[in-house]
Amino acid sequence: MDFKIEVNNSLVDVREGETLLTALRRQGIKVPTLCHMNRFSPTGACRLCVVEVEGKRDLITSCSYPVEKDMKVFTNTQRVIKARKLIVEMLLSNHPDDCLYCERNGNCELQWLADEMNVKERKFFARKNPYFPDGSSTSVFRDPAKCVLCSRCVRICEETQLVTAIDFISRGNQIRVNSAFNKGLNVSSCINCGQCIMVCPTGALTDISHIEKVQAAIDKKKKEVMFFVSPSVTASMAEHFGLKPDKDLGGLVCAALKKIGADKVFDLGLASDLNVEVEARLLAQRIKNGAKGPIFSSCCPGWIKYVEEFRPELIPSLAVSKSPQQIFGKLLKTWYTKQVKMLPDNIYSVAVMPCVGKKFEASREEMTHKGISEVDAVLTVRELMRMMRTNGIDVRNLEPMPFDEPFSGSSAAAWKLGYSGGKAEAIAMELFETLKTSARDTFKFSVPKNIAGRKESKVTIGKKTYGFAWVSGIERADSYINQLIAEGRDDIHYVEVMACLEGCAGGGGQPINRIPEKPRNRKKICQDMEKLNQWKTSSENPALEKLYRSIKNSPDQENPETYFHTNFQQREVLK
Amino acid sequence: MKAKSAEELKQFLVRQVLLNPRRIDLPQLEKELSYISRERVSKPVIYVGMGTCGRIAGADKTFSAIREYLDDHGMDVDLVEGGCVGLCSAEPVVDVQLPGKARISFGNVYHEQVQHLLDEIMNHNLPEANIIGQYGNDISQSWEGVQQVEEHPFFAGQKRVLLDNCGLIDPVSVEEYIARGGYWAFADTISKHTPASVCQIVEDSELAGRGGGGYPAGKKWTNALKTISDQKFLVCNAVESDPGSYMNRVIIESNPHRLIEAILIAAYAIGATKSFIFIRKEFTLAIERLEKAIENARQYGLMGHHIFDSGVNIDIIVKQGARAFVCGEETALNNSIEGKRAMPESKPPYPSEKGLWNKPTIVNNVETLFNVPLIIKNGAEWYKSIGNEKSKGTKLFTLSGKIKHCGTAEVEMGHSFRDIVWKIGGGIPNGKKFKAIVLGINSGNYIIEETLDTRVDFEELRNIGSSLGSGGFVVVDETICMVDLAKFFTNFFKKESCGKCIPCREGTARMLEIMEIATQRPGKNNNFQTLERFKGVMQLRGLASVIKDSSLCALGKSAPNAILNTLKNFKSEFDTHIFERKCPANVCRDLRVFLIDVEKCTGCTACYKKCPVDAIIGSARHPHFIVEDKCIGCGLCYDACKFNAVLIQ
Amino acid sequence: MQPNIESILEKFPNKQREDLIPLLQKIQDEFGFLSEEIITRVGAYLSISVNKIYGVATFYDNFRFGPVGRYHIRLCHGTACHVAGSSTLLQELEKQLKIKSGETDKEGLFSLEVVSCVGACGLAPLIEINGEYFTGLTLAKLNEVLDSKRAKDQTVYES
Repeated sequence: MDFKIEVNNSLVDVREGETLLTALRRQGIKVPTLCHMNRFSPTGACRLCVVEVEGKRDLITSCSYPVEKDMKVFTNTQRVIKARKLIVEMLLSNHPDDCLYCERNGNCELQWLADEMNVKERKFFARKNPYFPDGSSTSVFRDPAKCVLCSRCVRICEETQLVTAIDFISRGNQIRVNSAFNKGLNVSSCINCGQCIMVCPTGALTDISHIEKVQAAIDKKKKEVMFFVSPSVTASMAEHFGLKPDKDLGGLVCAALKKIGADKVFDLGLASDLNVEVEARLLAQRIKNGAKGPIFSSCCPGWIKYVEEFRPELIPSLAVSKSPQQIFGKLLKTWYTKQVKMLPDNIYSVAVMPCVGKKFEASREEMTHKGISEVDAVLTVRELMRMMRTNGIDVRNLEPMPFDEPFSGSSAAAWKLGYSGGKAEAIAMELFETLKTSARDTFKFSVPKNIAGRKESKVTIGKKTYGFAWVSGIERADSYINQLIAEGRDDIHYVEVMACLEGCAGGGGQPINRIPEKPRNRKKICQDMEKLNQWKTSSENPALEKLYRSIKNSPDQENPETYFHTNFQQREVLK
Repeated sequence: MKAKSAEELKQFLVRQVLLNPRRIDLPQLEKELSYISRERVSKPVIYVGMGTCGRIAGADKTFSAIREYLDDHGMDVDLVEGGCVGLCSAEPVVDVQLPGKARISFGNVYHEQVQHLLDEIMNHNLPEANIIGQYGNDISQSWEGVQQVEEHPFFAGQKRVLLDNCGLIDPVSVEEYIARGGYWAFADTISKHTPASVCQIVEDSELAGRGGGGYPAGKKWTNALKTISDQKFLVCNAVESDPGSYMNRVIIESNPHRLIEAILIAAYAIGATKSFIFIRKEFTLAIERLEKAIENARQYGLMGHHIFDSGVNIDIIVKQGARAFVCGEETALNNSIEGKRAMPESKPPYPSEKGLWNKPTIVNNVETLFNVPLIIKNGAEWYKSIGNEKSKGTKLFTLSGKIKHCGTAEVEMGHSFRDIVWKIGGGIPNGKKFKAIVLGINSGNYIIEETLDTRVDFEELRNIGSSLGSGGFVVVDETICMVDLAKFFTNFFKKESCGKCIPCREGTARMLEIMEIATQRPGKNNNFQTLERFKGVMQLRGLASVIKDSSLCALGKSAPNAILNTLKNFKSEFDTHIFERKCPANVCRDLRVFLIDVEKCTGCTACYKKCPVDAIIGSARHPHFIVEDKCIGCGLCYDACKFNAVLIQ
Repeated sequence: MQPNIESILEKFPNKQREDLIPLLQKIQDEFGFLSEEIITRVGAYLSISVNKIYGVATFYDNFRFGPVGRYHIRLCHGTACHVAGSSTLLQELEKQLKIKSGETDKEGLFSLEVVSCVGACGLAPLIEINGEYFTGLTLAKLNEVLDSKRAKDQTVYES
């Protein structure tokens, strides 16, 4: 520590150059904030973090003011509390009064602030601006009336994701966050990653809800409602409810869904294994053909949309494999229906994912088969938990149930897809299995420590060395790719790109709580689950071989090689 | 004296005047210079005051009329498009300078008066016109019976230091400017002074920022000079969006070279090689003249690379603002130059350390800069001799509102506000009673009857809870409603708020709503409205104090001033609006109650026909009656009645 | 001659962010307002998101996104003009033309813009229509001016 300052009449150690807020938080002094975001430079926009400093005429914002020698700070004088309270009341004056009907009821930063500031009456009768909600997007629902203009969504979309699909329009009381010309999000450059939802303090940004249509499908009983659950969702549930990793962990989620009314619940992990196998095969083929440059992963819909909109020149480098969700959807509505002799129309397929981009992916034109959508609905972890609450289900009191056949077994690799770096490792393992020449070859995959964002690992198979890289967050991905191109590197053969920071563990569909749940905890759970799995690599999963044979042998089936392939196209959007 | 070619003139002025260390020792130089500066003329010269306000008053037509006259009569006369002398109520202003005679100034010369004026004056006769005065001196013969310009009441109380050239010279001419002592300071700066010594001179002079802040300019410069960086910037803040002040525009239109010289000196002092003049796009004439003057200065080698072989590189770029009042705030201004939304930023870091593109940047107001060449030329001690103990120098004000002489005036610090209103301004017209002086939109308390003897001084104004502001000076009389004025200002802040911080964005809107409810039409059985009104008024003070305390920038911090002012100094007027639902000045439309005096009403039905809401009932030749419930207070009946039978209660 | 956007873009070869506002100003001077096509073209040229450009343009009062009327009225509403009665003029204009500041009427005849302080406070209250100033206005004089413009517009159509 560098020097001391006085806070509320006690001396406190501080570091040179840090902000007052950092110093106060280290002391455990709670100062309310709204526009503040970790890892981002402070803007001083909301003014909630104001404190009184002796010698300064006005109140100052602790988030942006650096510590100075001989500072005397007071964090809860009458003047400070009055200002903070009135600021919250001013915010509330321009906010709709429909907390009880809002998605974020009970889980909203504005509610917490109003409670902390002891707001007891509606002080101001304000003329509210008429804002209309925008439900045009497949993934993100915008309600500008609830926006508190904290700028978090704008900043994350611009600085972390390089997209800038939304920005501040107009000024003063008319200011709002929107796309240009007030067009809907569906024609904007939004990549549907949902990071904006994760940082929104109120109900201004939420999921496009699929709960209603899934519940309707269950209630109508006209179709068989079939769920498939991603392993990362199980990890999120475990993190949220404090469950210990156990080989039957997935079974609890299965049981919960059955209680909600699912006719069948399948393990998406099988499709994850398929995806890894298919992609590894594409990689091997590419290496054999001697193509230059790496192949990029394609299971993240946000990353794909980014490439299609902003970097179409990279489309030829994308792996043409369908994502696990879409593989599953296709299997369900074609191969499976033939196995059980059902009409595809009689199945209502629902994916449960940690991602809102998957809602977009499910709606892509390439993901339909003869006019029928392969995946009918996608529920995020948030939506699943909401449905569980409505149906009175407490996962801690359930007995695990096994996933339904024939989609019930998955390898450790399926869990790897739940976090950044896992896919790269899984692909590396598959490639190793494919290309190894002798049984004595050992697989070594070292994960570099202490490098944020982008990592590389080299794997030796036989006499050759192959480079695998992984990066999460579009801005980091973009600059890494530019670096690869600028340096003319040919030692990286596969790059895993995830739009969300930390991969699906930090996905746009994860729970939002007052005490934020950490992506790295979810990663740890995934890694623990890997250790408990009997099959370490995708190809060890016996169900895969059975599946391939079945697909090959059934009449009027497509070529299994291309069964799990898709294509990508350049998108013209408002950008 | 042989007439020089343009190139010869340029060589003369640069070599013999600017770069000549003994320039003032050579008496023959003075005479030659006096012809270039037009203190002496060899043939008649006519100047037409063509500032924006002159043009709006009709100076364009006057100019054309004079041109036509001169052409028709085949007269060899120099016709100069001049700047603004400052007396707007006398526009268009025409000055005539005949060889050997003092220059004489005429006011309100509309195009139809040109014939008579020129017929007389060109024959050395005084025409029948509004004679402002003559600029008499030792080297010319005076006009008999004509006062000196400085004896005119508008000019008598002024100390014209910054305005010395305004209205007298061709604004874009670099020759005239140099002949009158211009660019001498800059030439001396780069040859004799180091950047540190320039900063020291300005610091010693105690020059304080004239944009409203009053921060010592020299100290700010020294801060920037000390910060080590590969590039620094100087920005001239010519945004001037305060409704009611326009003196920056006047001085840029009338003497742009002084601003250019000031910027060159300031840029040198802080080590900046690039400087921006950020000026409102609406100031088309000012921009035109500024760009022309910059071009002319560039031709003379006064800016660019390796100026006068000194190794100093300075360039000036004009940037046009796209209109937002908040651009007047320095961090918002920097964002606007960078091509972003003009949102202010938290300070620290201050622009002098991290400004444009994170480089050290000094943002100075136009008027502040205008003082700089004079301080360098005449010395810090000279500057300190003007003004009073605490505040040095002069201040420009733009007088407007309910005052006889509108225009731009320059007064010495320490001048009393009373004298500005009654001596320079000529007092309140139509025999009305003085109410207040509004010193710019964000300057704290108004000057009221009780504080009229306050002097123009930073500290004295601070003591009465006011501040100098940028120089707006709007005089308000008894016919103005202070509550309505407060509502107007609050509306202005609401419109101009950038929207970044909650107190200003939401707070100004809420304050405006409260003010609107306070001045709204009283409706019957509207208990909800009454409750709102009282509740709102009770919140007003608290709301205002929090907005002042916690807003991000000066715009938000001064937004509640108008309301706080009114609550402090005009409480009774405010209370009458709230509790008695009446506007004492009869300005607030919704609170006006119209009655028809049955004694005076002749039943002519004029009011009945005019009423837009059919609130008047009555038949021809019978007294009419206004239904109060239907009346919207528009006052059309009042305007229509020729018998003064409609009364406002 | 049709204004050409490419010739304006050429004047800013550095394609820097700081060129954005001057570029938009020059374009609006030629085209009268900023349309969606224009903003999209500028975004592609400067490699800046269209949403960002729209955000910057809507911040400032000078930029328009729709055409102005044949007679564009600028009303000065500075302090001195307000004190001289410009609010009454504004109310009258809004009532008669049925538009608010920043809008154009249905026939495309008049558009209204409220500015603060033209700088001619001695001649308050005043309006400017297509470069022509009308000073010291009363309600009656204002109506005369509007009527004369309406009449002029009629003759233009009839001729």
